[in-house]
Amino acid sequence: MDVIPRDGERIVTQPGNTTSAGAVISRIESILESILDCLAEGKELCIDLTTARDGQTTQRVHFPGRCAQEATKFARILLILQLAHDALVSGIVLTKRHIFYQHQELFGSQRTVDKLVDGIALTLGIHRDELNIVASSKGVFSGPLSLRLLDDRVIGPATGDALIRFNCPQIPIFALVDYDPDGLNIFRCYRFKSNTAIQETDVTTPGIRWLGIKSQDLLEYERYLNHSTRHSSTTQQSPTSQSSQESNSSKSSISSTECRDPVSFLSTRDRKVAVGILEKLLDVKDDPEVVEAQRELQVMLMMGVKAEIQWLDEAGNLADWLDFKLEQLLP
Amino acid sequence: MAATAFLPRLASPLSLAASRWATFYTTPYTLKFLPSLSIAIPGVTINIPGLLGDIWESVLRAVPKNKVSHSKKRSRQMAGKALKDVNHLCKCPGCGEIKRTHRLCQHCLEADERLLAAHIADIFSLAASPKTLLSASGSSTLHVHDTTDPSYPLKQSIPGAHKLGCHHICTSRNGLYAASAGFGGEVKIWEYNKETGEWNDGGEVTGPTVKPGEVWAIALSEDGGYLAGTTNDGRINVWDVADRSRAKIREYETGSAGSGSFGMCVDLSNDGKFTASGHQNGSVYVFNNDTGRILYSLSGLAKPVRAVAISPAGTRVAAAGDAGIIAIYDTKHGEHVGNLTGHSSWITSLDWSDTGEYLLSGSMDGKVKVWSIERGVCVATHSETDKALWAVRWLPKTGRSEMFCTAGANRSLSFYREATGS
Repeated sequence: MDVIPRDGERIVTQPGNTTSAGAVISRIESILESILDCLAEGKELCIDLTTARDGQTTQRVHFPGRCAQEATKFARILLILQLAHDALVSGIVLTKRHIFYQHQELFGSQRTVDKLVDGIALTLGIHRDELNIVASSKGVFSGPLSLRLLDDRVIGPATGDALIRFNCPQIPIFALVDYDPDGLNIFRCYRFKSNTAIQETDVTTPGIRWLGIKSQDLLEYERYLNHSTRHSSTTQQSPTSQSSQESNSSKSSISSTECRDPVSFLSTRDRKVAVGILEKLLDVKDDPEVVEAQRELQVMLMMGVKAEIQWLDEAGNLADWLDFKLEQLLP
Repeated sequence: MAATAFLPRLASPLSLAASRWATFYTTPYTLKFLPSLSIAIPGVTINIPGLLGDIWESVLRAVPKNKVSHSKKRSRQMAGKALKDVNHLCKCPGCGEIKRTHRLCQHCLEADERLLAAHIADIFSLAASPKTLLSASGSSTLHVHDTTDPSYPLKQSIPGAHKLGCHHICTSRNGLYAASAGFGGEVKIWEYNKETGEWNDGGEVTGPTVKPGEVWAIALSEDGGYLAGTTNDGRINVWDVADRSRAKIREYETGSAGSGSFGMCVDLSNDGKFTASGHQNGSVYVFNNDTGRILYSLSGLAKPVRAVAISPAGTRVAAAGDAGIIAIYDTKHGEHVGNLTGHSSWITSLDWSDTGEYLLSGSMDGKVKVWSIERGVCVATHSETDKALWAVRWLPKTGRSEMFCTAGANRSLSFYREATGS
């Protein structure tokens, strides 16, 4: 839903202190250990989940449980525990949204994730942040930004949005937007406005370009996955330090949950918005990016599907995909 | 002792090669099959050193290690489970090459395919009449190609037909009427002029029943008298288009009012008895046009159904979509009579040959397949492109050979001819 600088980040700051992270890891591991014990003894698996703020009301969730809902809930809790564990081990901060996108079908709605994350935090007796799970992603940078050029000129201070309108010619600017009509509309706004700016000021300035998500990305995701596994296998062969080995292993662990259904269907409203944008695009002539947008909108309507940016990332990490994509686009 | 020393060295390249093959074969499937696995045993995928050591060992112990012996292999072969020799071969009357009896000659297909750069945008739909082929694309122009000429020249182009592009086009079986639906939500009727051989504007289907979101897929009846169209909320509307007022005469509901699943495709049977529709939630419905009621609600695909087609005799319904499977149902009892499997991507389009002998299917990975219905197997596969195919159509049979045309994201028409038809 936004331009790259805001959303393509990997958050490196860790809330809380490291000793607490270790304690949380061991608490999660003890829960998992008790499950393994049950498994070994052939008993029913169960997790105690604190459901109310006072820390008194606990619910025991069994697997396979008495009904399908209970089994599903158990699976949800286990997946969140695993993601939180991996996040803590590798020092990555996850958002609730990312967790949801790891397995849309399992969770069903974002609310389910929010409630369970809170429940797990209560059960472990910690604050949610200490699970390395935050409500929403914060930008790599936000607020005013100044750029110092090589000839010591300074652009800015300006915010990210203003920077795009500034048309800094040395920096190619790409937009990464959701693959849905609203996402395309955001791109259309930036592209169109920067177009008028070109006419007013500098004709040689390249406008904002569309990085994705495009229909081809949805179809090519498999190819990209192959690429990234090849990439990670080469890095693993090189001698690595303890910490990077750790992050590698945790990464493969997270991508082991790579099982979400990729996309969701267009709603009636989405279709109406798409037709509206197609109509607006009729007025813009001779712009290759707009021609492409037109085509993508039509293909989107034909396929009847949409995908948010979060669908692309692996547990909150878009960097690999961005590298892969920008490599293709930049000389 | 010596053996243990060099055994690992010997064994490692072998195991490496084996694992490489394994990954080569499993990659396409991992995405699909991993989900259910990892839900069921998420604990196993957790990466905690030491914690899983015990379990891992027992898993390893459970793996069978015995090599299949030679005699066992042979007994399996004798039981008829191995590949059999192919001995039903004949000479292709078309080109003289050897081909398998009762199969399309691959050689002839390859020799006779033609590619026409046709549109400046994706071609989303094709419709055939006895002498012409209509194509609809993301541009505002409809194209008409002459199929009586072996070079398939562009005979007519209809500019400004659909301002925002056209997503569906269909013709009546008698070849006199066509209908097209645009992204803007408008539906237009076209009339064939036998003297000039051109298509003329036959007016628009208008009124409160036609508005954006109200019409997606369309189909015309055999004589062009009725037009069926699917809607966002899963309804199927039928208009009387022979009459100039073009009134809506029927509305089929597929869910409680206004909450059905998006109708992705529709087809009418040649005898006018049945209407079939495919929906985003994977359901397929067959309606009885005489009583105006749902005849069958067919399940089994679970994923969006992008194409549905009733056989020329009206006895079978074929449905396919994101599941990559073509499901064949019987219209007499609504029974599921078989699946055709082989596509590895979304199936976007289906078409029965004139005789009902063959079924044509096109998919998002650019592959087009011809299926023999009688034997339930794929008899020819072709991929002119790796870009999406949006439409595949048989051309009405002229002379002895069967021909079909494919179109899609590569913006061109590909024509294929089967040389013999026998």
